[in-house]
Amino acid sequence: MGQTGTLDKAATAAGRLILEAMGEERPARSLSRLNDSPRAVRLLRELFTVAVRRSFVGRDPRDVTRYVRDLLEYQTLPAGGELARQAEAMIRGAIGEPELAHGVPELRRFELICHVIGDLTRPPGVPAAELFALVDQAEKRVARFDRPRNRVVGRRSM
Amino acid sequence: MSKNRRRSTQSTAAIREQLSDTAGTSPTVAGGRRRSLQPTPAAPSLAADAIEEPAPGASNGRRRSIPPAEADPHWDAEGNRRSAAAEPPAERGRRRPAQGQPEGAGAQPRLDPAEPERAGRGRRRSAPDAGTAAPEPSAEHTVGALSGQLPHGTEYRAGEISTEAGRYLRRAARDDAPARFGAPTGAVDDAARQVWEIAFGLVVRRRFEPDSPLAEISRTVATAVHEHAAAGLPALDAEMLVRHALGEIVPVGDLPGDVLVAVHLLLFASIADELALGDEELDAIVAEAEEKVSALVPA
Repeated sequence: MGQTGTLDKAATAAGRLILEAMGEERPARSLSRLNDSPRAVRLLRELFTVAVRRSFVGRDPRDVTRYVRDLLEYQTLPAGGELARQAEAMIRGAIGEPELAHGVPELRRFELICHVIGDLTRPPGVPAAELFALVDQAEKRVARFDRPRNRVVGRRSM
Repeated sequence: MSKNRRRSTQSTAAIREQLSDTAGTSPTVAGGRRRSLQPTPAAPSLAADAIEEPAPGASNGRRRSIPPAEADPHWDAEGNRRSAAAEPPAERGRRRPAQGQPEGAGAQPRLDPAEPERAGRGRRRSAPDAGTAAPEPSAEHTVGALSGQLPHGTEYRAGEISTEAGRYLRRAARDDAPARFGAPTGAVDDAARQVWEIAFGLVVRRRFEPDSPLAEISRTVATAVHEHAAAGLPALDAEMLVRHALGEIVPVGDLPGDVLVAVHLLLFASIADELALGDEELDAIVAEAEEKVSALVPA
């Protein structure tokens, strides 16, 4: 039940890979297989930020707690412990409390990103057009933050 | 800050006793989305290759809400509170058993010089008579170096702090105790943990309403974390404990014991300072916590 007509909607190869993965039966698992592509991982991080902000900005932060519990229970993952706190920290980190997510290990971040993106942005819960818009916005964020003048890694010239 | 988070390797099975009441709230998904429940169980692993999702038949539907039947890790199915005897700190505070009584596998010899003196005052060392002797208190009821239980022969008086744990908590609130790094260094028994936990719940509920804005809670927690920066309190865990004390269903299931004690002590101190509690008010809160613990733990 893959989606059709989506692969030309993304500007980058990484975006096309993500759209392809989102069309699979198990999007989180498919997204997690993109971990060997640095560009796809980079784009997934921005897609996570965009999707979370569209879903939770302006809402009661307690909705994040409820959403995480519901998501983990749906995935039959432990919903009452550290995993839930890490997921909440990741989501709240993306909507304005970045210090909360500093302690989350890198691998766990990626796994949670795959789960949340697979849940928040997947058709038919989210219309396909909105998914394309999200990926497009994430690609623009990657392009913006990866410009040489916006890079914060290394020493900048005076 | 995150580098200072102290995480023990304690398993989920060794969850501490929580005593605050939790009011069930029905879980809702952001945006009101629901999905059907996954029919096939998956291993609780998040490894990249192990990401398992619901069966295809359920994947396109909305997630079905599950009733908040979260098993309280502190009470068993029969309604009895689970013993926390497996906790290492409690084992350190265990009193030496009477002669003839088999010593528990986890019991360790007392190293605290204060304990033999206390134990030798009025404690029977001979084996109890099966017919007449009072039952030996379990590990949960033992008196440790820093105990939340009343010394023998004393009675509670309203508004007066009676236990070592209560006095320690008052000193912590008055910035007079060596608790600035979190948990006290000596042995702590379960009753002391309960006193601190209940006192924490009392002061949290005095400070916040159950539906207080999360930003207000976060601000108080951030202030406490900043005030006690040396302790490296985990901000999100502290916030979760505050919300748990207010009756929310939050993921506090596997918090390490040292984090619990540190948050209960230091946030109690910070909130007491925020409320500008006077000495009498502070003593009344601690004494009320002691009284509740004494009602929970039979002497």
